[in-house]
Amino acid sequence: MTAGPSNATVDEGYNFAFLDEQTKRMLRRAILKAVAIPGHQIPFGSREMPLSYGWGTGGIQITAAVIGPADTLKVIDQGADDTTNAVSIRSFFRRMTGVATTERTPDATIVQTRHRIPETKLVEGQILVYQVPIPEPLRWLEPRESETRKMHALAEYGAMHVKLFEDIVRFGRIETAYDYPVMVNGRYLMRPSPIPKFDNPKMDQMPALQLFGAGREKRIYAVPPYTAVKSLDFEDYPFQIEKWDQPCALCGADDTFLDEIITDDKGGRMFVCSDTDHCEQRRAAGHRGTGAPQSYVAAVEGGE
Amino acid sequence: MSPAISIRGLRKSFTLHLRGGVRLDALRGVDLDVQAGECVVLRGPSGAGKSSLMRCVYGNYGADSGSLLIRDSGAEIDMASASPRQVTALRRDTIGYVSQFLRVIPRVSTRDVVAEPMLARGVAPDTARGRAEAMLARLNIPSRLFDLPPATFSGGEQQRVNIARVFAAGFPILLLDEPTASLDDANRAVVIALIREARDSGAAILAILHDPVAREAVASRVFELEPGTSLPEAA
Amino acid sequence: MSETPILEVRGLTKRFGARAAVRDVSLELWPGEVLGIVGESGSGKTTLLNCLGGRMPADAGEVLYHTGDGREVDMLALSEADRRRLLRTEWGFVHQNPRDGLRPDVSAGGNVGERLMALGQRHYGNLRDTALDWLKQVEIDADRVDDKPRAFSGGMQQRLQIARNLVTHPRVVLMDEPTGGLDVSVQARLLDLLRRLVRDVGVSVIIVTHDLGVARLLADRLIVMREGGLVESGLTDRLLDDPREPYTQLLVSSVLTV
Repeated sequence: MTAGPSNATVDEGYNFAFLDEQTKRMLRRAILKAVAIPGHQIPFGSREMPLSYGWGTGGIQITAAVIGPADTLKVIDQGADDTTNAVSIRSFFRRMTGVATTERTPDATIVQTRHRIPETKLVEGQILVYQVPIPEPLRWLEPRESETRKMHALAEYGAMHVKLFEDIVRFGRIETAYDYPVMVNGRYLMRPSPIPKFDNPKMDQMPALQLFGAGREKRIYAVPPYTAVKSLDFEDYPFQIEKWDQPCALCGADDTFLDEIITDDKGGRMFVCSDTDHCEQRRAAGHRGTGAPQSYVAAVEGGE
Repeated sequence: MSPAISIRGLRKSFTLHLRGGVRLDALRGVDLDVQAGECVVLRGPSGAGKSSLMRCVYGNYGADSGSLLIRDSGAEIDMASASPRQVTALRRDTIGYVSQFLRVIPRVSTRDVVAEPMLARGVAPDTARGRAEAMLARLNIPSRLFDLPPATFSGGEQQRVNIARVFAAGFPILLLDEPTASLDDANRAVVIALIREARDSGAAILAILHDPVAREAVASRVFELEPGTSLPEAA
Repeated sequence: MSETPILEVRGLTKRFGARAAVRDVSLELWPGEVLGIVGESGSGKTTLLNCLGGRMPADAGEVLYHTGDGREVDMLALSEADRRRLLRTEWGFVHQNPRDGLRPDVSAGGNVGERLMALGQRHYGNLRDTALDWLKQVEIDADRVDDKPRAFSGGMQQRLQIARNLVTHPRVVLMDEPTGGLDVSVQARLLDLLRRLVRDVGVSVIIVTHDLGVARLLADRLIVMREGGLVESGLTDRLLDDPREPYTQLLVSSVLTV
């Protein structure tokens, strides 16, 4: 699945990775600052990109600032490499840089993601770039930016638990399932972007560098390698990740985040890995699930 | 032992700025001692300053000059120059005042109105309420009224609640402004008995009593006040 | 009587442009005391309260506060972090409009629990029990604990706001017209409640009101303000029954019955 740098067609007339060097330097300064203060949001001069806000412009600018000719890029959207958003961003960088792209997590040096963390453990040297719609975790309770900045500066985060408290009031448990707030390095409250809370534990002490970009809100933040990331919870309602009562129908994995798939128009459904690459790797290694209709399996296998 | 109340050269006037600054002299140099175990009844025509004197002793009116010493568990405090906090403490522990009108928060039950001075001193709520009920019963307030706020009571009932409030807590100094007015004979007898018991157990009492029967029954002596300039009796 | 004031305000001044909204005000607040600030609209009483409560910077003066752990700090000179920490632990602020002091879309229990969560309490069951206890104290039925205050009556909202403030057992509570905008009967209930809580919790209160009836029932001492300055101060009933200053006499005589 890996495409080499040489066989990509690079568009003429653009600077490497689309942005001019001056802009990249500005972005890198913001990134360095973000890495130095884990979880703290750094404002940056977000540029117009050839995509609309909401399509990952923050993540794209970060990737553009850190990518080099020797990098290998993977782009996922909700865990899949083949969705529109992932495909178009991957194609954009191929045309603007000529770098290699891949769907295999271990082969990538940079993974840009929307709403998932790959199941395959990331390692030192890799960079995970998150696309962030709303960076401010305190926004729901405080609309004033001046005030939320002050709350961060003074680490006044108690009210954040009110939100989880309200979940328990209404649902009997902490219902927040995506964008579940975390404390980074014991200091800054951070939104992990709309990843499922299933992925939160992966952020903790991750060997890879995690960078977060919000294009519309013009904020960059980061979690450096091997940094503590703790999900908020209550003593009597501890943080828990989603569990499924069945393994992946395709690869049989019982430790991955599953998507529900409707298999026919008679109410048939099954659960499969949201991370398509991980699922493929497992199946390539001989793992098989049960419960997927033959026609579906054939389609997936045939696609390889 | 020094008097419980010792008043020397007490002067009190009112300057009515809204009426062109007219000055009314209410008290012009009053000298009076009240000993523990004594009930002094103030007498004088309307406008002589009986209520004003009593209010000065209670700290409700500020004195212009003179001294107004209150014996307070050994120490003496001059009400004429006491700080608001000292006055508050004296009212909590030392001076009880039965005014002519009951002024309380509308919604509070009669039981709690009577218990409140004790609660303010830190008496346990159950004890305070028990003593409040006993005193109300003695003053012939039916127990079915204990839970009701006194605002809807008749004038006589309100007056008895007012009396119960002060006598249930017990004070070494009592200021009584017409405590038997608007009471029937039976209740007047109860109040007279209460005053005598307090006096005989050592309270210093200053009273305004127009009712000759009550005056005869409780007065150790009578103190005559000369009329000052005309001043409408303050409500 | 040997104790010291919990709060000493010296020479507090707040200007809006050339106009001094609060002019050289000094006052003391003693432990367990309710101090009323009365005056007509525009007299500067709310501005004074906002300066004391750290909601508005003052231009001059000192607000010396004796903390729970025995230090004396100038609230105006404290670092913002320290000031805000004190304000949400040892101080409370009850707004005239409960909407300003409540989270309307957070349950009653969450509203009461917020300050405790801010102090690091992380046990849902305990937080909820504490909230239930406080709802009872402010006479809100336990079965309303999960309801949002948006659906509460004005009086209930105000009582909830009081519970939300008192839950951390603050030592100083500032109240801005807490009974304003409520029906008379609802006011009476709230006044009764406030008196009881002040006595039971032993908190010191500064209450701003233009209602002399409220002032008489709640305050031990009163301060009369006019045009940003202090006109007269003293024991509540003496100030209302024997006012000395022309302005105080005018203020008192303007009321039908107090």
